[in-house]
Amino acid sequence: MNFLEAQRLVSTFQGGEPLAFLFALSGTAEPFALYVRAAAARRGRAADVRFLPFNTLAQALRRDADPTVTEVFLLMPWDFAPEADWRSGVPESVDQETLEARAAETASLLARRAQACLLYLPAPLPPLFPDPSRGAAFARSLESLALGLGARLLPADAFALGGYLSSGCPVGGTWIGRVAEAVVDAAAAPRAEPKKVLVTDLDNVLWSGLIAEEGPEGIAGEPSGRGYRHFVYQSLLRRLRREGTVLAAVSRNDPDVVVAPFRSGRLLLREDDFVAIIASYHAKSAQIGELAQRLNLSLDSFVFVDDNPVEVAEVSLALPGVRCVTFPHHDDELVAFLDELASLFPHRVITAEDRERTDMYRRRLDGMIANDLQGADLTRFLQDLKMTLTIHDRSRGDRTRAVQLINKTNQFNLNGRRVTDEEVCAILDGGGRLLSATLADRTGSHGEVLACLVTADNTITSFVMSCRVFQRRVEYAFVSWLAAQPNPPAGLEWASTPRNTPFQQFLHEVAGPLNGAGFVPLDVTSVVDRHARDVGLFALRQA
Amino acid sequence: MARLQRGEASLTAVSRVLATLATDEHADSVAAFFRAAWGENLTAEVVLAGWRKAAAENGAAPGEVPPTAIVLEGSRVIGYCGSIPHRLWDGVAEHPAYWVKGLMVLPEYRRGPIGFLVGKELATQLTRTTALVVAPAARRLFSALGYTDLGAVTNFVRPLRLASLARRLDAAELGLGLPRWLTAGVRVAQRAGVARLAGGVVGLALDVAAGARGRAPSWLTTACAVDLPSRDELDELWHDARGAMAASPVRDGMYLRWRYGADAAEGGAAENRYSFITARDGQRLVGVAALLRPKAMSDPRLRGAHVATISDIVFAPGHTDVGLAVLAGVERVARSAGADAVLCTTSHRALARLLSRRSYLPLPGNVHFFLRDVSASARWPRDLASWWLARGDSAADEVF
Amino acid sequence: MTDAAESRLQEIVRATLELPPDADVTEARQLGVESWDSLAHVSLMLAIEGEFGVSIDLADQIQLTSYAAIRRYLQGGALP
Repeated sequence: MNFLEAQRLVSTFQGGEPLAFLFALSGTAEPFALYVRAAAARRGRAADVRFLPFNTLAQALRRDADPTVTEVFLLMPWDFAPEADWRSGVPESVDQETLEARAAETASLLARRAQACLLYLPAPLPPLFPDPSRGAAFARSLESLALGLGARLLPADAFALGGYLSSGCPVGGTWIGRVAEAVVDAAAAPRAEPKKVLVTDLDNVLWSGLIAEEGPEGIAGEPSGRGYRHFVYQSLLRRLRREGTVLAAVSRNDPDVVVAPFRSGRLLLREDDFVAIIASYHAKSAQIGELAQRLNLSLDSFVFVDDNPVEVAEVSLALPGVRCVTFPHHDDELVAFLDELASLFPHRVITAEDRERTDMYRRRLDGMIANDLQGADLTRFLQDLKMTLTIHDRSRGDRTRAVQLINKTNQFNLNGRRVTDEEVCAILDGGGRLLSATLADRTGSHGEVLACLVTADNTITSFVMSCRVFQRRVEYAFVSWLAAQPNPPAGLEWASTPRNTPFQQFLHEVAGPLNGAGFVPLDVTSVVDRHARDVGLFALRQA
Repeated sequence: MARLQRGEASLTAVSRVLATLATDEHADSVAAFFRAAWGENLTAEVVLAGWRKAAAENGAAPGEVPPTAIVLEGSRVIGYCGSIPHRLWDGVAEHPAYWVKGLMVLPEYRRGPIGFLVGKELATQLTRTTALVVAPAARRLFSALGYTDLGAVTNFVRPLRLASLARRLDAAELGLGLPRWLTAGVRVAQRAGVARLAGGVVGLALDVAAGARGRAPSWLTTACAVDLPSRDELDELWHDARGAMAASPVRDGMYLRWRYGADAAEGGAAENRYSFITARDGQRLVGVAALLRPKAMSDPRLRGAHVATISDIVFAPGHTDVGLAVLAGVERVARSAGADAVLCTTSHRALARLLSRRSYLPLPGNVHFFLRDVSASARWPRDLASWWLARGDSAADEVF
Repeated sequence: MTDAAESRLQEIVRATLELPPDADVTEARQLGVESWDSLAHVSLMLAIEGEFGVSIDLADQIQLTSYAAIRRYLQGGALP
């Protein structure tokens, strides 16, 4: 944007939403006035810019920031190292330690202004040192300081020494328009408030594996093998916690199951690094909502991490203010994931209060009980997944995987009974059926996720489903399909176990109130009617 | 001039025109500038001696030479801007400050970037600066350099011999900011030959009014002297007066004796044109004014008329009686010195009221008061009526 | 200097010296234009730098005291 274009933009501007901010630079700011107004006008905004008086940046940094004022700083190398100011000439001698200490002090003053937008112009420095390579290294260190503060780097070509010496404005004529655009961009950018709470899932997020299925010895969270990705994630959480981020965990699990890994000492994080570890089979959104209330924090300050897109969708829909981030399934997605997560919790200055925040909040959450409120309606989300449920009759052929599922699944398990292959074989020879289901959706195949053993008298004696596919209504669709077949099951052999609360919830919904262990009859007509919608979520196939 | 490539740094590419602060090595060039710009016959030795003396007397930063910005073309000074250290009172505390004084550019370089450069160079160095500025171009410049224009300080004129004034003056030439109707009216009266008569009548009326509305109390004694009272007495007076002032240059004993005392006179032993009018309540000093007596050879614009100037006046603003007594004393001294009028430039509401009671005529001022304070350690009033300014500030009293 | 560039230069001079849009600036000189003071001169130099992508040395700025001088100066350098 050149002078005449800027003039025209300003003179023809009809007015717009005000954009008020302080433009702070140590040099002469007035040449920017027209261009800043023009850049704002181009965005339909009426710039209301205040400039710092010439050469007063250092004093301004030592005054407390006004939280109601948007500040945009255009920083030069000599704002960190005054000895490097061209206007003072080449200094007779410099002490590098003093230079670096002064630069660090300025950086810490800038860091305190968490809401300020920083632009850095890496202008060349006068020859400060006898060895030019030291000068180049020092210039790079100043640039790193600025980048560390989150400054946006401007092109070095924007600096004009002649103009700086004559008028005090460090930006040359052709660049003033472009720098003004950058300034207005910074001033107009929405303020990203740092988040305060990170709520993490546990299975396949904090560690690899399912704790309820594989036990503490079966999960992996150490720096080796499949656990490495999760170890790195734990290390980030450990750093964030030290910087004052509040950690919490929510997991579809039993409470005593999920704490075992923390007590084993095999994880980087301990139980007391979390203000709460909420294990329940109710909607995660309900747990997060309750947590926010107990902590008296706005949901806008929450971040939720889960590997399961359905859980992520549920929380997103129920709690739109919560920022949801999906844990990567592959190591090569880890860098972007960690960058995104870290950027949500920028901490320029860490105080003693930050470090003690977790303990303070833990005291507030003493006695918190899991919330049993319903979560979000995920119908639309699940429809968009384009799921295909393929039912397999494993009565003949390879039943290995199905039997394995029955024997290793704990949570979604009808009665916790383990079966030998001989026992299965005997049931099948007697006229029973072994069914399984594989699930696929637009993201890929989830493999064999469900197994169901039905005796000859149409009693379901084993019914398991992988907890990886919780929340997708797979179990409802399957039982509804089963109920609609010729010769439907009459009922289920139910028994409560320490781990099968999820199945209990399902059974309660499908068959009504339970009266202890034993045979639970199934009203197939009612099941088919009530869960027709669940069937509609899938393309049902029979293999 | 070549733009620098990243990683390159070369001062040899810098322009031969350079703004900088004057140091001892520039004394010769500065002396040459003074000769060219003001016709003052200075040498490098005189310049250096002046800087040493200013450093010794620097009340804002003791021992430091007050900064002087210059613009050099090669080794020649083509632009200059000096400073005079002082202190400012903000109603609570005193703060070091500088008057910007003597902004000047050689004629052949005027209207170019030099004035801006030299003013900016000085602004860079100083945290708190004040200036009294007349010319519109200079006012624009100071505003652009980050100074706040608090407005024009009012000129109050008390004609003592209005008949004589009316006959002589080209009112427009005076540079007092007189309204056009007045200057035109005076010109008409002068041409008609009635100015002297009309002036006499009006002058009598003013004297009667001053006597009626601005009578000085009899229980205060006023006196005139060629020396200021002692520093201790002046300190006590200032301490008493400043409590009711929201903002003012500091006018304590150290300042007043430095500014108007015998050693402040040009050339040291040369004539000191100041008379000092004091008001006492018993033995206690309660008011003082520094009156600049008219020159023997008056300014050509005055055409033989003599104007005395109240360069400074100090009394507690709430003590109306004291103010009236001092002003009455000023007029007596001015008359005896042969003055045709007394000029008082002020903005403070309390003093303005008293001047009005003593029949001073307010005239629109053209001297603007500028303030630049980047320290944020003081809060300055934005209304000029809260400021206790005086004509002698920034050595601006040498009008006539 | 092309007609377009000259037109831009004249527009800049009018804008920075606060002259009417139809003012003939081809004869404008510092001493002859009341609004051409020190501050206006600095603004004019900055505007020319910004419009034409040139950097005007301080020593040259002092010499550019008329429209004609500015025009000659710009003609001497490369213009877009």
